[in-house]
Amino acid sequence: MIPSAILTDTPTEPQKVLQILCVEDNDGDFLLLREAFKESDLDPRPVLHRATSLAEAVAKLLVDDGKANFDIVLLDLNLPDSSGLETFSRIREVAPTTPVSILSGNSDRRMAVSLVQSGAQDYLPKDSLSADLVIRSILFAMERQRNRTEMEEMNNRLQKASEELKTAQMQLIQAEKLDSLGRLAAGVAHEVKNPLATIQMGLDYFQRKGGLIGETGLLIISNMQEAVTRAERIINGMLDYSRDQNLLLKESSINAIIRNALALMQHEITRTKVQVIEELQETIPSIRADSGKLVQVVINLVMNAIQSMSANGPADRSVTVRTFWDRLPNMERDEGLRQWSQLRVRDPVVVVEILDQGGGVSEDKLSRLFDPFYTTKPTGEGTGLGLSVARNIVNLHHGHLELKNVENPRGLRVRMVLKAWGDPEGWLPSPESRNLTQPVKLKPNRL
Amino acid sequence: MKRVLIIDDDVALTQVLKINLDDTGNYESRIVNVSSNAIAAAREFKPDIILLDVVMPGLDGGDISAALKQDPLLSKVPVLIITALVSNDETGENAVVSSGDQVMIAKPIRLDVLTKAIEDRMSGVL
Ligand SMILES: Nc1ncnc2c1ncn2[C@@H]1O[C@H](COP(=O)(O)OP(=O)(O)OP(=O)(O)O)[C@@H](O)[C@H]1O
Ligand SMILES: [Mg+2]
Repeated sequence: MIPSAILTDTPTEPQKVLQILCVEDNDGDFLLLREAFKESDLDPRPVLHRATSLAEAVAKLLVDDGKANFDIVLLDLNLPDSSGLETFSRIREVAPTTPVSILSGNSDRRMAVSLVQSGAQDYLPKDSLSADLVIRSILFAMERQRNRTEMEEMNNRLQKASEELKTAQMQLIQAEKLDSLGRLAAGVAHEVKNPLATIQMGLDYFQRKGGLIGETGLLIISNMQEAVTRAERIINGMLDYSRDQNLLLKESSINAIIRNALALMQHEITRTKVQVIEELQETIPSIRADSGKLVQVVINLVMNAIQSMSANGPADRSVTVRTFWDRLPNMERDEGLRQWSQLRVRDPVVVVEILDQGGGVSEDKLSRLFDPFYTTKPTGEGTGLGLSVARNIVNLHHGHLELKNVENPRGLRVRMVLKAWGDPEGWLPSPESRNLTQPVKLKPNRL
Repeated sequence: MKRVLIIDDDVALTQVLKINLDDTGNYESRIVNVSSNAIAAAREFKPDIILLDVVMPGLDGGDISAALKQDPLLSKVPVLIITALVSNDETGENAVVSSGDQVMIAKPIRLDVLTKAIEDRMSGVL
C-alpha cells in the first residue's frame, strides 16, 4: 500500500521533511489530524503547519519568493473568511503546483468530489480519518501532482514544438506561395472579371446616352472607364506573372522589338515629356525570341524608367535605350552571369540597356525589385509585378536580366542579355569597340 | 432583328448586357441564368446566335455546347463563348480567341467589340 521506500527505517537522504499545511479552522478536526501524524513513522518526517483562515493560508503559501514552501495542502473548504469552491480556487491561484487534498465533512462531500475532478488531488473524509488513510492520501497526492507537473511540462514542450512546426510551415507556405499564386491568380481573375464585365456594360450604356447625362456625368463615366481598364490591367498582369508561359520562338530583331515597344508607349512618353534616346546598333545579330513577350519586357522596363523620373525637371528626364552585341568573355566580371549556364565563352550575345536619370535604387533594395508585388508606387499605380514578369520572360529565353546603379547621370541601368542567333563572325563588324565591361559611348540615334 | 440568347449565371451582367443589346435596335435578346433551362429556352426562343458563359454551376458552358450540337434544332446556331477565362490581351486584334470550332471573347467586354463579334460570328467570318 505505502511505497516501501518511504516506510523504510533508515533514511538514505539526510533530514528531508514533508511540509504539510493544514488549513482548518476547527480545532477538533485539526487535533485529530495531528494525532494521526503522531502515530505514523512516515519518512520523510511530516511537519504539520496550521492556518485557520484562507487569509492566513494564503499568507503562508506566499512567503518565500513564490517557491513551493509546502509539499501539500490539506484544505478545509469552509473557513471563517471563505467557503466552498472559492477557497479552493484561491489556494490554487497562489500555489498552482502544490498538491491540495480536500478535507471534507459530510455536508460538502459532493463539492469535494467535484473539486478532485477539477484539479484537487484527493479528498479526505473528516469523519473517518485514520493515520494510514491520511498518509497514503498525502503520498498519492504528491505523486499525482508530480505527474501533473510533468504532463504540463510535456504539454509545454509539445506546444513549443507545435509552434516551431507552425513557423516552418509558414516558411514552406511562403516558398510555395509563388507556386500556388498561379492557381490563386486564375481564380481571383475569373471572379473579378465577371463583376467588371457588368460595370463595363453599364458604362457602355451610359456612354451612348451621353446627351442625357451631361458633361459632369460623362466625366464621371470616363473616370469609371479608366478604373475598369486599370483593374483589368492589374488582373492581367497578375495572370501574366503566374501563368506558365509557352514561348513562340521566331527569328526576331531586337531593334524591331524595341521600336515596337516604344511605339506602343508613344502616348505615355509624350504625356510625361520624357526624351527617349535610341542608341540602337544597326548591324546586330538577330535573336531567337518570342517578340511579343519581349515587347512586353521592354515596355515594363521603359515604363519603370519613365516613372522613376516623375519628380525630375524637364531637363533631366531622358531614357537611353541602347542595343549592341558582344562576346561573352568580355562580361565575365559581371555578377550573375556566371550562373548563366546556357552560354559558353565567346558566344555572341545581344545586349539591351535601358538607362534612366531616376536616381537609382538603394543597394539593399536592389535585389528586392524582382520580388512579385514589391512596389514603391501608390496603390492603384503599381502592381509590383512588372519586373517579375520581365525576369520570368527573359529567363524563359535563357537570357539574363540585371539591375545596376550608375552615375552621371545618376540612375538605374537595366541590362538584358540574350543569346544571338547564329554566329555573326565574318559578316558583322567585330564588337571590340563596345566591350561590355567598358562604358559605351555612342552617338545618339543614327537612324 | 436578330435574336440573341444569353446563357450566363451572372444575373447583373446579363441584365445590363440585354439592355445594351436591345437598345441598339438591332437585337432582341433573352436571358437564361439557370443553365439547366438553357436547351429548353433555346428551342423555344430559336435564337440566331447564342452567347454562352463557361463557368456556371450545374451544367457548364462545355456541357451546354455539347448539348447544342446534339440537338437537331440548335446544332446550326452559332455560339459565341463569353468568358473571364481568357484575357483581352490574348484575344488579339479582333478580340476573340478561336480554338477548334469555338470562338471565345474575353470578359470584361466592350459593347462595340461584342456587337462586331456577334455580327462576324453570324455571317461566318469568325
Ligand atoms: N528604373 C527604376 N528606377 C528606380 N526604381 C525602380 C526602377 N524600376 C523599378 N524600380 C523600383 O522597383 C519597384 C518594382 O518595379 P516593378 O516594375 O516590378 O513594379 P512597379 O513598377 O511598382 O509596378 P508595375 O510594373 O506593375 O506598374 C518599383 O515600384 C520601383 O520602386
Ligand atoms: Mg513597373
